[in-house]
Amino acid sequence: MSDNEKLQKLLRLKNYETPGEEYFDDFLDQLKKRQRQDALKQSALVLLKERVVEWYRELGSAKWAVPAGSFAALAVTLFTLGGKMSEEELSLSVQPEDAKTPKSEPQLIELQLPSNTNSPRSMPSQGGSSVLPAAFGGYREL
Amino acid sequence: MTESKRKPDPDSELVARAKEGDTAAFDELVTKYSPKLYGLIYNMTSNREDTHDVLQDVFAKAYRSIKRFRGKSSFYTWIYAIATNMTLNFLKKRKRRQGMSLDDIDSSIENDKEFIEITSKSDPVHETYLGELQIKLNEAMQTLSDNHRAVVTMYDIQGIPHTEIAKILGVSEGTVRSRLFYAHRQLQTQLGEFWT
Repeated sequence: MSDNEKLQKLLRLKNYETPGEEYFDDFLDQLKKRQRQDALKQSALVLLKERVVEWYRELGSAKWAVPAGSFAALAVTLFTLGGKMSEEELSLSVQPEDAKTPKSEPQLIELQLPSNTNSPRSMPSQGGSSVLPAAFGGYREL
Repeated sequence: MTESKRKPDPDSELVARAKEGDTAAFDELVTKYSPKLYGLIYNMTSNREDTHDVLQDVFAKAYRSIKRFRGKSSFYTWIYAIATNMTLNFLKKRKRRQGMSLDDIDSSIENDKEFIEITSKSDPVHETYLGELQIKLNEAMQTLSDNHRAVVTMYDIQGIPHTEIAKILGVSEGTVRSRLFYAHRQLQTQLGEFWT
């Protein structure tokens, strides 16, 4: 008898490590009880999740198409939404941005320029307390 | 193997009825397969309580999934695959949870009526020897990796052929044979004292 056969004979002894018939009768009863409890407990959401997982597992090699497709769809959606949002943001931000740009300066310049002061462009940076004609209530640094 | 050449599934009628919602048919399948699956799970976990819990989970899952069983394999292969996968997952979790020691291994065969009747023959020395042998066997089995233990359990203990094991585990027959070769070598080193 080869070593493998001897080993197999020894291992086959483990077949005796089974419980008696009573155990299996009780086992079936317990299983039925559990199935009834499970049916009551298990929510539709859990069942749905399990089915999705099972379906995904059964897809085989095509399963990578699902995350790839989802990612592509997500990317396209984000790109589309992102484009629209940035347009909206841009249109909303035009007004405050304009206020800071040099385009608004001529208005101030016109207001700030007494005939004998320095260049209007340098006025705010030169201390801001420069004087406007009294009719305008003085000058406030921006 | 093509569909036409494949042997008809002996459980096809019970499975068809169970799919229709016939619980008595499913109960028959449980009665038929629970002893075999108990052996599979017990020899992989070496613990009776864990075996009971996993076996309950296996049949609960089978019951929920049977409507999606398409008959690509036999019911026997399908339920064995569920049991093997669930046991392997359970063992991974158990290792993470506690780092099982050999003390947790169940060696209650010494109290197994049937085993004692067959093997003891009123010889205390013989009985002690068998008790020791059983402990050694379980310890040796636990030194194998989970995948190797699964193959040894199915082939050496339960007598399932290589081709069937390959289908159950979803691996090639070559992989099954190579796992067996490695596992046998390891077990022979540990259990050699019992046949020299």
